[in-house]
Amino acid sequence: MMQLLLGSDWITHPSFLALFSINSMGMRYGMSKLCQILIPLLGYILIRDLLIQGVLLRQPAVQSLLQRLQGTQFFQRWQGDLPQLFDQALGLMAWKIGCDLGFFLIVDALGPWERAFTWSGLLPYTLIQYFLYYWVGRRMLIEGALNPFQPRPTTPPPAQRPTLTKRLLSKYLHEDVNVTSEHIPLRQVFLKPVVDYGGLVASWSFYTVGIFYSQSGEMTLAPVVHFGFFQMLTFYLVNTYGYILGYNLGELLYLRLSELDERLSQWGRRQAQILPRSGQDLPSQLFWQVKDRVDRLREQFQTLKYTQLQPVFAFLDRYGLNLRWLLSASGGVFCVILVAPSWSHTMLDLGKSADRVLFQVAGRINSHQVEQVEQAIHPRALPPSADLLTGFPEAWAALYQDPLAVDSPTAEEVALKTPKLDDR
Amino acid sequence: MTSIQSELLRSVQRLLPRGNASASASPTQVAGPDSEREASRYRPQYLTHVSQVHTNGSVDLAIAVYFPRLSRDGVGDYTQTQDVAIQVQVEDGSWHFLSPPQTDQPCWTATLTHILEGSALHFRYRDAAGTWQPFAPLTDLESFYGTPYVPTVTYAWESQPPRYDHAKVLLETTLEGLLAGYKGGKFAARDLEELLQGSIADRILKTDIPGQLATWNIDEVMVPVCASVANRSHLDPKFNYLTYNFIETDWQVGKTDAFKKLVDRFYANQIQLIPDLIFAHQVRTPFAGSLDQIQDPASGMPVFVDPDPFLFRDYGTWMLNLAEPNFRKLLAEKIVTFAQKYRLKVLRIDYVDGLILQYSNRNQNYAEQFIRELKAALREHCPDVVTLGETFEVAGNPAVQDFIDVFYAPIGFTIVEELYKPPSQMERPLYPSMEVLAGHAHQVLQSKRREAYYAQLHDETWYCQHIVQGRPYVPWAYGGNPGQLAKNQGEELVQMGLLEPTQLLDFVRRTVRNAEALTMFLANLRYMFVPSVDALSLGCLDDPEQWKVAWDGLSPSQLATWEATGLDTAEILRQHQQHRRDLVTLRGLFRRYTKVNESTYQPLVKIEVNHHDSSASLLSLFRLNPTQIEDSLLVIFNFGATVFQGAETYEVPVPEGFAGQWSVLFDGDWSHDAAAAGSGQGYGTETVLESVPGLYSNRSAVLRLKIGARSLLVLNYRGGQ
Repeated sequence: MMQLLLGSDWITHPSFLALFSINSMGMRYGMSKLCQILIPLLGYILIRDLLIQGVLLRQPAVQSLLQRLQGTQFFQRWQGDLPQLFDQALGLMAWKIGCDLGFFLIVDALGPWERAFTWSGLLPYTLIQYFLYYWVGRRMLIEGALNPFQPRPTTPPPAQRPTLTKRLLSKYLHEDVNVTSEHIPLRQVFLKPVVDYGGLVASWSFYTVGIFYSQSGEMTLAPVVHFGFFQMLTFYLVNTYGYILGYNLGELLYLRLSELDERLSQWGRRQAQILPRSGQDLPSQLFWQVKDRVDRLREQFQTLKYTQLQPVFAFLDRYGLNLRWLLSASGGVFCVILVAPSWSHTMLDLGKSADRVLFQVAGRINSHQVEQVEQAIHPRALPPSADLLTGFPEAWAALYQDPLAVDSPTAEEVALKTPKLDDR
Repeated sequence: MTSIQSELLRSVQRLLPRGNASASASPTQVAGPDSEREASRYRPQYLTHVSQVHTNGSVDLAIAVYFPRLSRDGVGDYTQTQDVAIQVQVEDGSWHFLSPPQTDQPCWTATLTHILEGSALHFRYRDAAGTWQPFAPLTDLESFYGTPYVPTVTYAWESQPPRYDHAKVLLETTLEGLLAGYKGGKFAARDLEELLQGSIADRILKTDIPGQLATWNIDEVMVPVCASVANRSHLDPKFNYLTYNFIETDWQVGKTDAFKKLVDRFYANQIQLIPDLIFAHQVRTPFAGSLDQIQDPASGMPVFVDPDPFLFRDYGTWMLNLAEPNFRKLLAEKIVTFAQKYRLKVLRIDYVDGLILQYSNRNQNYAEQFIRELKAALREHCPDVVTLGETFEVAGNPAVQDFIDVFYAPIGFTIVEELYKPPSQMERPLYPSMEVLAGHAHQVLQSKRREAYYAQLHDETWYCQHIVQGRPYVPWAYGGNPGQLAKNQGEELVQMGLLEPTQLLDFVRRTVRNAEALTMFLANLRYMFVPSVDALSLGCLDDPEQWKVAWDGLSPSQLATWEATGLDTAEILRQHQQHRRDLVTLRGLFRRYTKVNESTYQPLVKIEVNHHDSSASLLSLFRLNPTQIEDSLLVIFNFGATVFQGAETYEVPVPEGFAGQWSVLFDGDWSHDAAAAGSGQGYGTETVLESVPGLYSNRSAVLRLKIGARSLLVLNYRGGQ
């Protein structure tokens, strides 16, 4: 392995390339992650800020209703918490839409993309996420609050600088709201995947129950019992840790580019002090030509930025949409696309191997299963095709005879009768 | 920067075999020139410090903790050591007992050898009940809240401090403000935790901030760097004055090596970094084991806290009991080691008034005693350090006069009071009183003290109850950024119909420029200002986001405010950019033409009021450089609304003996863009003006000048005819 890494041609080595290959599975995972970032963002921009704050809350009828409500004790009690409650609910709902939408847009064979927007799925999902994931998982398990409804206590300043190990674990094993940090408590680093996974399993399975119920009127817990636990674990792990890796690399790239920009600025200023503006030598002339052009461009950009583009920059600032966000988030998504095929393949292989081992250790099969397996192991000859061909007109006609006629066989009977398996 | 990558490298180095911590004295192999320099450094007696640096990067520590018992009169007595024990621990190692004080050594001591850089130290003492309590004594190491860490002490300095050969322009700001406002804050920490990944110093070192500041014609940057409870990623500037650990660099500002690098980088750009030293009062209980919580085992009384606070202390702070001589020495050592360690040449001493007045009703003023001792220590160990003192009420105190080298001189207060006065309270709303300004200038120029002049610093640009109490009759002259104060005045003129709304921004920039320029050109040693002067910021410093330095352009709220006056965005931006350029140019002229004797630090420029005209509200200053006549300047201010142009010029008398040619260095009405477009007013740079006999005034030599309303001209003497 070391040889592989240290050799000059390790990048083109098939084993290395196998780690990073783009296929539909990678696209599926990547699209899902991309939509998990964009849809909540769009949700806040369009629903909260534009629709509710920009339009609805400005309507005279809504204003007067709010004024009346402000007189009630119930409203006064919840008024402070309502924006946060709303933000959380909207965030959870939008995250789920994004997750589904990205997935089904690519894998249209497994379901239509509209499925991401069904209320019967969204409501159970959001409710379960809110109560199970947020209150129980985040507040009680991760934060350790016995009473999750009490306000968070103020934390005293840390006693010591965090260790390198803690910073590494935090930065490379934890992601929350699509960002990574070096300063997450280790309790959260280790418990969050458990809580996340538990929340996903519970909410996804129950929302499938909701969809079935709305479509068929049948209440069945089969989606919960037969949930693809391992597939979901694979999806979660690949999506989360692939994103973390790419996010951190993208962030690093951004920081290095910013530093380079600063160094160029320093270099330019030093050169401006060294090289005379009226210098006749080529370096001086070249430098001042380039510098003047860059300065002019910069000035034009500044003018644009502070005049025409001011609203655009204000909008981008409000939502933290800057180059850092672009490089780190897109780095995360791109990394998911790259690593998903190999990582998920490895995970699923691992799952299959584990299944096999489990079967060998504790597997049980009944007589019907043995019979089925037997048939596969000891294949029996099929009846001659001539019998099937000669008997076909009769069987076909029988199929369309009046089912109420006393003598006519049922479709099942026809199917069972013709052709017959040779018992040999 | 303490990025994960660099930290990883350091960790790998740590894995290499090294010695272990032990409580014995065994100086072994020492490092090269850096450590030799380190070894020749001043050794504090009361502070734990690095005593030896080894070639492998480990260090020996001389542990010193001053922890006296209280005598009956409440003063510390270090000879009483019964029932007391103090221990020190390195990281998670074993606890070591400290040796009790001796007659010639008042501190508890120990020696720890071969301690790795970056190791945490923990101290504890045994209380009366026999229980060990946390203790965070002052050290000459670096600390993270209450935990001291072994710093990286070896640093190869690359640059020398700037020379003091000309008068200095001092920008009062914060490092975090500079960083947060720079390029949209992309190098700034987004929260407190991110400052652990990279401190403010680390982050500034990745930028071109020092270089950019140099292009603003700034010589000194004065910033609070002491450990405080402020969150420097989202600063409430007032929290910067709630400090702990006395004089110690805040972990958010940077570790020892990072801060040294930062000072060095500023030096490379010929900028002096001036720390704002806040030690008159300290915040209570910032962490477990802070000095204010340490109690005498027998009496239960606080050991370090002054028991008789007399003055009101901001936000319930406490002060060190300066009646105890060893505490005074401890604090003096802390300041001296701080200045030496970072090779600082100017220290700003905060709130000297409070320090002295605190002890003014006692038999002996221990604060006076302290500053005398501190001054003696500074003179002995860092004689080239200049103390810049914030003192007003006790400025005449002999101890203070000896202690402070350069006094805060708010000579701009009167200027601001007159120039920003509500028009309804003025005799002539468009014409400030020259009697007031010229009289004030005369008075100011009589001062023999070494002073730093300013019109508004941070206290004047926010709501400060002390300022309100001190200047209750001129509420228009403080509590807001200069632009806001000028705007308040201009809006009243608009209401009176004396100013068009579209002229309001121009009025504001010209008024601010005149107020700051007059303050600056009255100075001959140091001029101080805040970033909101250049940015024409509105509101006040404690408004949201105002703590961030506005490096360029203008904020959306500024734009909206000025758009409401009827101006288009391009014109608003142009005026702001012009204002910045003007102030940078004016500061450049001030620095270039205000020479100082480098060996005596005495000003070489003599300033006098050359002329003032009450009817036109015009005033001129003559800045004579007797050693280099060609460096003499004439600065003419038109504070009124009259425009002198075309045939109607103004005759400014030339100082006696200076008839001849004067060249224009700056004209407040000159705009390069406008001149290029053929619509320019005023004089271009280097325009030569010739003195002529006065036509309207009975003077043999006058300069006939075109000068715009609320504008100024800076002329340079070119010699006789």
